[in-house]
Amino acid sequence: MSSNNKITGALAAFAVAALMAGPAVAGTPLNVVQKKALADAKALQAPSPTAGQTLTGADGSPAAVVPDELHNYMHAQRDASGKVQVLETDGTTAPAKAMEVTNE
Amino acid sequence: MNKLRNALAVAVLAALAAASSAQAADLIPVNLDGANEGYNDNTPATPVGGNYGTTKGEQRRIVAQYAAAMWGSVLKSDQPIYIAAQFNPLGANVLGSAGAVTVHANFGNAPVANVWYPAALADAISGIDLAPTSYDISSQFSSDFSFYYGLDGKTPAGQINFLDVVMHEFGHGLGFQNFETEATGAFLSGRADIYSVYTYDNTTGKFWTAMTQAERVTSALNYGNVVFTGANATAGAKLLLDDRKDFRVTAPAPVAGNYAIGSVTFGPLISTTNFNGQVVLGTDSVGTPGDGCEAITSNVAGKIALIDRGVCTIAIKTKNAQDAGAIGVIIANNAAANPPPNFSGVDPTITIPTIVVTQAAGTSFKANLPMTVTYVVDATKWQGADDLGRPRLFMPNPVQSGSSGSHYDNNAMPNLLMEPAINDSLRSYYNLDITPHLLKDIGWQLNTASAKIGSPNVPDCDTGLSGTPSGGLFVAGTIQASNELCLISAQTRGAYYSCMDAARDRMVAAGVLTSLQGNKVMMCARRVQDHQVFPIAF
Repeated sequence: MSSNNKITGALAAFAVAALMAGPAVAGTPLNVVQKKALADAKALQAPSPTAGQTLTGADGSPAAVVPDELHNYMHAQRDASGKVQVLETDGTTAPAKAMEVTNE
Repeated sequence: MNKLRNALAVAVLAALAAASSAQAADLIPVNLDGANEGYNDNTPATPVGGNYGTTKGEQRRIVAQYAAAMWGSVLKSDQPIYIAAQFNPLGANVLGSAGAVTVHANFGNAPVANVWYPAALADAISGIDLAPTSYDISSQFSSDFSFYYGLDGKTPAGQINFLDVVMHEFGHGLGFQNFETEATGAFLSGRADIYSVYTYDNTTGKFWTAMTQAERVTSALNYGNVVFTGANATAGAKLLLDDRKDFRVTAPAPVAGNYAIGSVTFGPLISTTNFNGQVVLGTDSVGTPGDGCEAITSNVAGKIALIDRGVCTIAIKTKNAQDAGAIGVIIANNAAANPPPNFSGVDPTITIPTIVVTQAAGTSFKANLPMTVTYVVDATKWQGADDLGRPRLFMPNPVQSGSSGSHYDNNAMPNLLMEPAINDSLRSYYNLDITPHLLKDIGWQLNTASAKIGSPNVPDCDTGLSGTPSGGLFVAGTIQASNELCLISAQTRGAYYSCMDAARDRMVAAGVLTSLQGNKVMMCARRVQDHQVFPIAF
């Protein structure tokens, strides 16, 4: 095992331990160090499930992956006077109509 | 009215303060960007507006962390809420996106059976991580756009406040969204969601969960008539929204009533004193008579001129009407859309107000001229809510995929964080208006504990400042988010204290804290300064 692999292995072990530990003290919010550790650990996990994948919740309850089409996308537009408009739509398609249009 | 509002305020605060054993939520952005990109972009940056980052990536991380801390202080959950966080080159003009990664139903303690809940909320209610291999919220923002990364709300003209965008998007991820496609009426996997349980159409008298798919398609176009019925959102709307302003036709009877209007960027705004009187057709004698693009030849002197949209600019039409002696202009849209559009334009010589109505309203008006109109303030109603005070949801016609349904109506005043268009009047670094109220309706518990300041080595110090939302202000969230920022960024004890001192000054200057309250914050900051070693080792 190379030194890089050893480091990766150690990080992975730490990640699993950190994630399994959950909140450090029940009833007490995490402090900044604990949050950073959990964020680093989560980043080493497998990627999120993909849209369309059938899921079952950890307690056996029904679950579903939300497709990107149902996420909210924000768009910026500028009107004739240069004023920025920010709109939100599903998907990556820009909104068909500005909130503020330039005549006609 | 004031008595009613005061009574409502007490009721809202009491309801929001309902006891719970859960803790403040921990929202954890997980940086998934690679080296020297996005959240790790090493491009040097000048600290701005309380954001102490010295690289573009660091400033972005600080804003995301700040937004996470703000939301975390507002909500309760024993389960960490993981937010996949990335900056990517996105499509032209795309700023970013966010939403729940998974949805869950019929988990332990689910308040409503057989409906989807977003992952973060389902975890909070059930007390377990229902999808442990998944993030709860997915977020990505554009690496091609120049945001304002300050935390003080002082966004320069022409820029977009990144904190407002992130707070808005995280709000969606936490549950301010349905899981339904408005264009088809289809629920995700054929199952309704908790947001739609409260989505109600005043025209049909039906909740979305009681409608057929075809009925939801129609309802999603019913601008102004679909509301969110949750008790907390309703109480919050009655407390926070302005008195309703209505453009009203008073005669003749066939068209009497209130109508939605669009606005223009030139001339005076419509008011109760400048838009009263008789409406007549404004016509010219060239080409299409009703377009008002040439000198108005009909008698509009002392009256309000009704003119069709099209052919020339709205400013030209208004100027022609003004030159003919009109006191105001109503533009009838020439396309089927509701709400009627707003128009930009510049003409400093225009001194009369102009409004825009829908094509359908314009057609009705023309068949009933002359008519009498007025502009009224109704202190018994609320701007952006129905007659019962229930906040309106944004349901434009034609449907705006993504904007429709999962937002408060853009008709609301003051502007709300969860309207479909971000605007520069938002102050999400301390004001979340009636967003948490809706989240409480769908099942979140709000954290009403007083603001606490601590660090890894120093137990939380209670500032004694209320965590209860008051008038939309969440002071506890701002204080605790500022504390986290200062803990992360400070290299020395003195730097931490200076950071908190600057944050206090910003809050006092913004009127969020009184000087006395600011001193309480700094007493706790002093305790952290005295006992915490800096820099904190991560």
